[in-house]
This record gives sequence, structure tokens and C-alpha cells, in this order.
Amino acid sequence: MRKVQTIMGIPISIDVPDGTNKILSDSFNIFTKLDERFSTYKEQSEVSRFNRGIVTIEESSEEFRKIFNICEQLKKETGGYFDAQFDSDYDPSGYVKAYAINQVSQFLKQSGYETFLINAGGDIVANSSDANTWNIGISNPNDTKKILAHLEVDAIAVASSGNYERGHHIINPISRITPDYFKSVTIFGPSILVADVYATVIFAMGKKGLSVLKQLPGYSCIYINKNNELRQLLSSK
Amino acid sequence: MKKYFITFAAIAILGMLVIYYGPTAFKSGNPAKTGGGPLASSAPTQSTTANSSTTTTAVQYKDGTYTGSDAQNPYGDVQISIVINGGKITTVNLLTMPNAAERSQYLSSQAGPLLQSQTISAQSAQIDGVSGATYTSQSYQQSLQSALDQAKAA
Repeated sequence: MRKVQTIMGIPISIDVPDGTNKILSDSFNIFTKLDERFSTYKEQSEVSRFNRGIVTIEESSEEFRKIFNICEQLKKETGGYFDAQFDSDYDPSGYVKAYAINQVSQFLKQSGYETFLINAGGDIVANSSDANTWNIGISNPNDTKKILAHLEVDAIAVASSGNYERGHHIINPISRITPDYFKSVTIFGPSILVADVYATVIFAMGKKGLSVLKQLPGYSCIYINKNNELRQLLSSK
Repeated sequence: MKKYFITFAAIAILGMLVIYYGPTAFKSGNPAKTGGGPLASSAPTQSTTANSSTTTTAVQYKDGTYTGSDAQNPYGDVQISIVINGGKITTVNLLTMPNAAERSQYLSSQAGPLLQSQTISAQSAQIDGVSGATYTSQSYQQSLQSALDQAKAA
């Protein structure tokens, strides 16, 4: 059973072949709850109230502090290339999307569902205990109706970064300019939290960002650069 | 005391990661723990060519580069296909459409010995989901993912 709902402003597709209506609606509810807490668009969300100074970090919920601390840690870890601070506002929505996918993935496993595919706006977690269950396409930034690669997998997390869908929304937080070396960067490996953060970081860093991959054992990269070179850097792990 | 120990342990682990980058066990779902501060710990501004990438042990794969000649629509008919099971990459293929024979020859000669050229079959085109830069609700309407969701929705 597959269903689609738009939450967090992005279309979310959840496919649980043996799933029930209830397991799917419970899964979407995880996204909805996180959106209510972390949305920058909802006036009453904790993030909005935090940005207006109504709630301090000490008064915030445990989950809010958890995400806040992870974002701070990621900022350090990536030398500032991952930054949830946007202008003067705190906006963790990029990380929260990956966090939500991860939560749903854990929820489905705990509920006894081994086989599922979650796609939130292009970030994917696939799971199965059988080989070659899922075939995941990687979108071609030159023509999004086409794919430039596909992954036949049992289980994987895949995240892509590019400026071709929503305009130039990713900027290099250090130089403040729009990165232009890559047309798209896709990272795949065991965790969506890592794949998502580092797809964005490597995209923002440009070509030198590829050296970061060396520090991420188990993660692979497929990219297409501005010269239309399609390249794969595959983990041997 | 505990804090000092954690700091020390983190530095030790970081050091090991830098000195010995290998088939390290890597299972945490939390990026704050996983990368071990890759940017902070990597040698500054040392640029690495893409070819000397993550292939270190176990199955060796050549990293491939494919350059298209048709700037209008490169790769519309050339795709990389990768099979991954149990966390291991087992097969890497270059797929080409039947009418792209000439270009595919050029491409596969660039691709290294482990890449085989194959004709895209109807089956390999059956994809379950598409990863791409985050799309908006509007661009979703026009997307491949939307078409897949409509076809597969219960």
C-alpha cells in the first residue's frame, strides 16, 4: 500500500506493501507532529516561538533541545557548511525532514514491517530483508523526467542536493555565494541523517567537498557537475 | 571527569579515523557522532581528485566518469546501474538505450573494466522512487515520482 501526503510543504510518499491504513496514517502523523513543532511557517510552532523570543532554549521541549544540539554539533563538524541559522532565525527544517524519515523508518521496523519505502521530497529510505527489492532512480538535473542512475537495493538511504528544483536556495554559508560546481550531488549509505546533511554540505562546498566523502565510510556519491560529467565515487565497504 | 573522558575518547577516535581510514564499523544513525568531524579533522584545503575515492578494501571498483557529447540532453539515454545488497555494492553497470550505440561505446571505453555496457530493458526501467533535489508541491505534479505514486497508490 502506497500513499502520498503533503506535509512540511513537501510531498511525502510512503509505501508499505503489507501495510494497513492505520500504519500509514500513524507514519504520516510522525511527520505532522514534527512539522507542528519545527515549522518556521506555523506561528505557534516551537521554532517560531523560539525565534520570536517567547520560548528560551531552557524552556523548550526535550526534542527541541535535542535537534538544536545536533544542529550546533553539525555546524562545528562541517566547519560551518551545515548551518541551521538562517539570517537571524533558527531554521532546522532541512535536518528535521531527514530526522522525520528516520523516525518513521524506526517506527515501521518496531511495528514489525521490514519492507517499506519512504520518499520525502526526494530523500529516500528503503528497507527490505530480500535482495533487489527496490529500484531507486536518481533524477537527472538536466531533465528531471529522466534518471541518470538507479540503485537496486534491499536497504539504503539516499539524499540528493541541487539547485535545479527550487531555484538557488542552497548558498555557501562561508562565502555567501551560490555554489555552481555541481548540478546535483547524491549521497547514499546506511543513514538518511548522514546522507542528507552531507549531500547538502558537499554541494555547498563545491569540488573540494568531495574529499569529505573519504571521512564517511560506507557512503557513496554520484554527481553531475557543471561540465556535465557524470561521476560515481563508490564505497567499498 | 566524565566530560574529560568523552573529549579524550573523541579525540582518540578522531585520530584513528584520520590515520586509519578503512572498513570501520559504522552504524550510528546520528551524524553528530558518525562523521567524527570530517571537515575539522581532514587536512585543510588538501584537494582530492575524485578518482582516488573511497575504494580501499574488499571489492574494488573503479570510479567512473562519463562525459556526454550532447549538451542539450546528456545522459537521457545513458544510466549508471548499481546493485547493493546487505550494504555491499555487488554490481555496477552502464546502461544505454538501443539507439545510443555509438555513444555508449565511447562511454563504456571510459568507464573501466568493471563497468559493463548493457541495453536498458523494460524491467530495469521499473523504478519505485526517485531521489532528487527537494521538489516543491508544484514541481511534484510534473515529476516522475508523482507518476510512480499514481501508478502504485492503493
